[in-house]
Amino acid sequence: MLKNDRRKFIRDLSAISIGAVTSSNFLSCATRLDSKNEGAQGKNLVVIQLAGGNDGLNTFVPYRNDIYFKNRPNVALQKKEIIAGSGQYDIGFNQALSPIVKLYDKGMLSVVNGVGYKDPIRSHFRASDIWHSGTKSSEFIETGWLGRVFDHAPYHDHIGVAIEDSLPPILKGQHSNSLAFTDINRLYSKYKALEVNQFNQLNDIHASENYRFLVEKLTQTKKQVENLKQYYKTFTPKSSYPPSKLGKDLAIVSNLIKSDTSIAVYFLTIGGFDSHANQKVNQAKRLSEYSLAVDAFVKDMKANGLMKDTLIFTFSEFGRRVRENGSKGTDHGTANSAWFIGESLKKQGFYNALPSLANTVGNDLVFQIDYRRLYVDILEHWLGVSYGTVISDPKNELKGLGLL
Amino acid sequence: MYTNQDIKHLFWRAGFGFRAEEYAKEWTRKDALEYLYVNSTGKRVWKSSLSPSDYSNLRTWRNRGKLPKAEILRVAKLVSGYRNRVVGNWIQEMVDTKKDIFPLRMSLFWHRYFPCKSNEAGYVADHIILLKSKGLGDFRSLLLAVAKDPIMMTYLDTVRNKKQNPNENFARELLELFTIGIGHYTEEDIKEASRAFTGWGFDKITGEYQFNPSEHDTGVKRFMGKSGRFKGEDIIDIILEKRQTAYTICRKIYQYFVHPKYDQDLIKELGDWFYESNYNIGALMLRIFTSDWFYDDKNISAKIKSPIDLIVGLQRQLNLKIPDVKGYYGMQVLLDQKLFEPKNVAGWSGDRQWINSQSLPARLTFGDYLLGLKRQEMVYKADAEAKTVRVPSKVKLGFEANTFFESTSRFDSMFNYLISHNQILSRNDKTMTGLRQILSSIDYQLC
Repeated sequence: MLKNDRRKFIRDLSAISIGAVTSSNFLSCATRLDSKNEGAQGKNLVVIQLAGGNDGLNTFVPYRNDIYFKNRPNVALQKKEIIAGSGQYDIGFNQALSPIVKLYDKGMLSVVNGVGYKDPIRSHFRASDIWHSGTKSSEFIETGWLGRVFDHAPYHDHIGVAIEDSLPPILKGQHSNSLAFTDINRLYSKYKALEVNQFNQLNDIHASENYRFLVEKLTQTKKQVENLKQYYKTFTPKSSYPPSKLGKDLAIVSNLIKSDTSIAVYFLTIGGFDSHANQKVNQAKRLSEYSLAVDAFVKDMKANGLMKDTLIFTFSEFGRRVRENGSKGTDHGTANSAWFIGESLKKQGFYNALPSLANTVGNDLVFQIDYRRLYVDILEHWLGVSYGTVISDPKNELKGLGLL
Repeated sequence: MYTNQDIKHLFWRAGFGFRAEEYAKEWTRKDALEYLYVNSTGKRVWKSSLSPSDYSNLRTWRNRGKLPKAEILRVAKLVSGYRNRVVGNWIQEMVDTKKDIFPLRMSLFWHRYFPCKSNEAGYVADHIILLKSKGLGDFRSLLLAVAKDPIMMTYLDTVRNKKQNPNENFARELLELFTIGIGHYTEEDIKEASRAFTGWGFDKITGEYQFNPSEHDTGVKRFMGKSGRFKGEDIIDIILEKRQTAYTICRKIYQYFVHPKYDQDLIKELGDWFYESNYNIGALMLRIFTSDWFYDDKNISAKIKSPIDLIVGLQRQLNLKIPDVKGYYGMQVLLDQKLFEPKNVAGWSGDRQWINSQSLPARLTFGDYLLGLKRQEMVYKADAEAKTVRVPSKVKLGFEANTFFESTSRFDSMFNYLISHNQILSRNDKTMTGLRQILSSIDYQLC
């Protein structure tokens, strides 16, 4: 593995000529980056969102709890559908996760239960926005927590990449310019064909804010896409990726990581978790797709000696109600499980017990752990940046969990 | 008195930009507003773009459960292209219209405001008529009609909202997206409101709203500080009694029609006025378009055009006509906005959200795409070197360069630039070279 200082830079800071924002409102009262100003550490963060609201209770199953079975006559997993966990918490795995269970056995999985936030939101896009922005449920901001990582040193010359058609909020920064694409060659040919009209560089006092925004976006993106095309190489993977969308997306991520560029964060989604009806079949299908793709990716990274520098973080915008609904499914809920997959986890297995199924509020699980504490771990102990530059926490309430 | 810049601004915001022949006229404020049909009372009768026999085929399709397989296949073939044709016809109306410019702009706004998704051509055609005919009337009638529309009832699960098993989807979006907005209601309000909407449904064959009393929860609901045996209509009335609802609607209208960044005081002033007018949409819009602040320099070219703005505006300005409205689907895919296919229930947030690494190059080369230059690039490159080539006669262009930018000063900058770089000879030079420069400019992305 190449050292970070030799990483190929996608972002060209000299391209930012017009309208670059110099100060950010959001961070004006937050802690500034400490002056040590270490370089970015050559770590890769892969974030996967299970979109639609994955049912946590049928993922990490309280299989010795009667309340679970009583509330879910049609939806509860039966014995043969569960792989028992070995830890102290009586939590089993949905059998669709069997490849992930193998990682658990090897100490490469760390699951945090009861993750959520105060005043939970059950709307898909708003709840998703909260997880992306890294704010309290009452705060609205346009940038995402990982996008803000690239607004500052040591990551200001790095970017994130979403294997998506458009850039998700999580990677939006104040002035960083992360990219979204599903096919690098197609994206490159679009920009190559684009004659950058010289008039587009003309900037006068009459130009509006949106004009400046567009000019900056165009100049930066064109340069980045050209750099990316130049550095991107395809490698023969050391494991076979499943043909699912997530499998294909992770294969692209694998090539990007091996190409050793200054991309530090990768964002992917797998949809179909909004299990209002016929949950057992539908969720198992999606979880199995997730597990097989992640398994192939981990094997590939390991075989190339890259897993020690790669961390996978998986979350979903909310969990689901304890009680099943009338159509063999579950409705939008609150607290949920989120997990890390990696080689150097400090606390392996289950970090904590599942939240109580008896003491619910309106049949919803009560959150135990503020989701932003997981972000603190990632920022401080994986990416090596002080979390105050990214997450607003004026009263210093957020503490990491010490997982990484 | 309006200036030239004001008129262009008004035509872009209340309509889809100038046609060359419209630009040739001298406009007063009154003329322009009347021409755009802003003064309308919403009395116009709108016709569906589907024929009676199309509807008859659709009814057969909706009833297909009872048909033999061969007959199902036959009807499927018949109706398969209807939906894209219906949406395409709506876009074509925006391109062609001379009399209904503002009502059509308003219908597009309301589709943004009430995003929903459907593949059912008949329901889509009827939904478009609803937006056109009620889009300038009072907000309550519009909201109620949308709430009872088969597409919305399907999209937000109103049809699954039963007394025994309430489904909160519609009630949540009603409060969060369609009316008062997040922060002004509780989770309890959502639960209680969903009970009030139980029993709503529609006739599968005709699409007409139906109330099913046996599925309706007749119990007492506690909603926003009131309690009673509320029905869905009562819930809507209670929400509309709150001034905050008028503020939220006005904020969205302001961001769409005036400037993406809003001024809280102005929104309050507009909202109070809208509230007192009993939510009269047409009157509110007239008030906005006759306010001096609407024409402030800071509002000129402040918005990023939506994909539909680009598709419609370019054709109006160039007097183009595409051979088949089905072609609009490809353009919507290219520019990343498919009508009746929003990415999620929040719809399209617009402005900078239109811009991503994929859509940006597509937008900047859209002029070339539409003019068919891509396929014949070699020919035109040779011509471009001569710099005096006229637009080929087979492409019927009626463009007036002056209509392309709203801002007079930006227009001056562009033309001075093009002339000084020998790209065009004069301001009246209607050559393809100059046109391509204009259409691929950043300025053209704004309106």
